[in-house]
Amino acid sequence: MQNLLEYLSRNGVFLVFVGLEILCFNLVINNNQSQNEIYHEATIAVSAGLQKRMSSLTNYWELGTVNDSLRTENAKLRQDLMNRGASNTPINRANPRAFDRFQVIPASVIQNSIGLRNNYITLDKGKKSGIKPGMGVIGLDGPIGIVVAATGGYTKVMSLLHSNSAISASLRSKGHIGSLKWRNADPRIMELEAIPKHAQLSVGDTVVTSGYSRIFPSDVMIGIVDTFWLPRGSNFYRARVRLGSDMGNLHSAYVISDISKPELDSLANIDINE
Amino acid sequence: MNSTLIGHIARGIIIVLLQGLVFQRIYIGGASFNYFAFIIHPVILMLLPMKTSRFLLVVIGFVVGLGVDLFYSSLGVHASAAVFIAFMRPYIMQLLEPRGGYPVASTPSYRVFGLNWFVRYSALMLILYLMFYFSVEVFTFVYAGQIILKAISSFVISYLAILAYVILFNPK
Repeated sequence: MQNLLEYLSRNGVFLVFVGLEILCFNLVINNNQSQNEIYHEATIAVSAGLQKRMSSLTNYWELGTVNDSLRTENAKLRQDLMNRGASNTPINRANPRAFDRFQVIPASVIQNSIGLRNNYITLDKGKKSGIKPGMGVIGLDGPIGIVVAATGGYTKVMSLLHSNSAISASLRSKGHIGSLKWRNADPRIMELEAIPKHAQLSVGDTVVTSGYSRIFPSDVMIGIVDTFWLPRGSNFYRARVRLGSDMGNLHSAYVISDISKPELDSLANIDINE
Repeated sequence: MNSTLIGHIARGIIIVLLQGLVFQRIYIGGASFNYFAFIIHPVILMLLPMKTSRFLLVVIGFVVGLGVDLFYSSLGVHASAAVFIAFMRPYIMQLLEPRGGYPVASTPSYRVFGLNWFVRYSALMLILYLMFYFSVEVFTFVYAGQIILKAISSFVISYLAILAYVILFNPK
């Protein structure tokens, strides 16, 4: 207390000075229109400038968060798009997406390879986010793989660029179904097989997922027919398909969970058992 | 003591009234060149007794400034400048302290301190006042050039008026 009093007696005048000046400026700002405007403009200018500088400073660090939020938003939009066709679902007003057939789980690619014979992709989401083996994974421009294993927080995805990968694909314009496989070392090209001879295949045809494999929803664009040929003695075309996705440059991944998959799988099993 | 106190108060009131009613209306250079302003009331603060406590100085500065503001309808603008030079006065005095210290005197009048001293003292006080005043009036440093021009041109005429007043009336 005594220290405080001593401090005040030593610096009291300065404090009074500052106090009175603050009072004066308060009067100036509150009673003089032009100063008032300038004051507000200046505070906005200063604060906005600082805010902008600060945000440009922190932008870089926030990029991850921003990406995540954009990815989440993308996932929702994609989910809406995928479920637009599947109409006869009940509506839940509180959570409109609760009964969607396809749930889209956003994830980030943390490891990827394209140079091996069997390539895998690792995602930063796992079981906790609802990812299970067998689910399809799409990137920004089309399918990129199929989940083979999921731990609590990570997922291993069999890339399209894998000797065992096969996707049920169809030609968007004609509707014929084929199987898409990765044959050679070119990560941009896959081969479409089993397109029947009577299909009028042409270069530039769009190849989309068929939706029959219970892995991907239908009509997700995969790529475009680059060249095609009819192997000698075969009734089926083969086509080189240029992938829409750049498999070497993956950042965002959307894992697709199909609510109807168990049901459809059990149906398929019945067929097999017979 | 009472007579000097009353004298100071009376002088303060009269000068504030003069400033507000007379000098405010004097335009030199017309509306197109509105850079000359007669600002004489800082002389009240200049002539306050030497032994006025710094606290009282600042408070008187506020009251004087506010009084002038009432006439200028610019509440706070003059007051802030007056508070500022009232606060600065002891430092200016320190800066201008002659060798051997100040003579014992009640008011810093030019009779006791010499005209040479008073000229420098009042010039410093006035220019500080005007710079501060015009800065607050415009309220942005964007027009620094105009502020300085106004301060200097107003300084010239106000300074002459203050010196004339001090020399002619020789206030105690």
